[in-house]
Amino acid sequence: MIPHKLTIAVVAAALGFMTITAMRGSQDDGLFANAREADLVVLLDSLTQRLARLQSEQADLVAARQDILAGSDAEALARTREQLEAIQVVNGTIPVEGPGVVIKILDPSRQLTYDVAVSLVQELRDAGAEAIEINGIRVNGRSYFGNSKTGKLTVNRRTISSPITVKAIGASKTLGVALQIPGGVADTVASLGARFKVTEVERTIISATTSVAQ
Amino acid sequence: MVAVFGLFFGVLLGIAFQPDVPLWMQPYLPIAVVAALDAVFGALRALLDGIFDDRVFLVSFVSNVVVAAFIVFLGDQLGVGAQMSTGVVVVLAARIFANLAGIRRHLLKA
Repeated sequence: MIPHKLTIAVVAAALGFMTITAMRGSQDDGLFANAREADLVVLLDSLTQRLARLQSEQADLVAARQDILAGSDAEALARTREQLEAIQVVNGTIPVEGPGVVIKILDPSRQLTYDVAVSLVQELRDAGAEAIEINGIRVNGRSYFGNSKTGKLTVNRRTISSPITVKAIGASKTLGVALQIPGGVADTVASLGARFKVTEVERTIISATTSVAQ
Repeated sequence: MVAVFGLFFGVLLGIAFQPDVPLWMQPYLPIAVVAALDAVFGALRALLDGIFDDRVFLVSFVSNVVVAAFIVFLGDQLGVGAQMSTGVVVVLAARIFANLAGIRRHLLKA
């Protein structure tokens, strides 16, 4: 049986043409060619959101610049003081007073480990706590937790013994809710056999400070 | 021989004209190419088996391309385009391997 040559030639030519075209097509389009419509929509959304965020940040900064340029030295000084205070609060170098929560933890059998303490601090910070103090020790960005040889919890190498009092300043309601989330810190502490009690207070003072050159 | 020339001619044509793939065609062309390859390997095997028929080849080539593209199109409409493309490519690749096995038996006697 002799194949009809022209048909085969045409089909082969079509295959060659298609292959080359497809190759070129897949090379040209780069990153997003194989992305599905839904993915692209999500991507576009996130880019739009980011743009809006950056634009509002830009507007804020421009306004701040205008203020500083137009205003008197006193205004600029006041603004700088505000920034200084915010930084001091974050670093824990000045006492802070305000609404917040007071947490009492009774841990007679010393079940509390450093990871629980870390997640407690983390949860407080996530909920917007500006300043945190544990048994009179101010917690800042450089604080660290550990367990001593006797199994006691330590903050910055200083031993913490039960009862533990944690004070946090921030929106008291938010902090209180954040701590009581099911599966959160309160549950973890309870599952370790320790007692955990949160009190939302109108006013508390964190007087302990840290020096920056710690 | 004529097939090789045809292929060569097609490739040259593609390189010479550098056609831009229309947007609506872009998801389907690679699938169509894989389907076409399946038809070609099927034809090669049939040739070695001595049962090659150009009419069958032409019909299988065209229908393979059209059906593969259509299945992917259908998948796209149903919202499972990516999975459908993968499925079609897997099936076609499996068929290509099966055909290659037949060709190998003829050529290498193994």
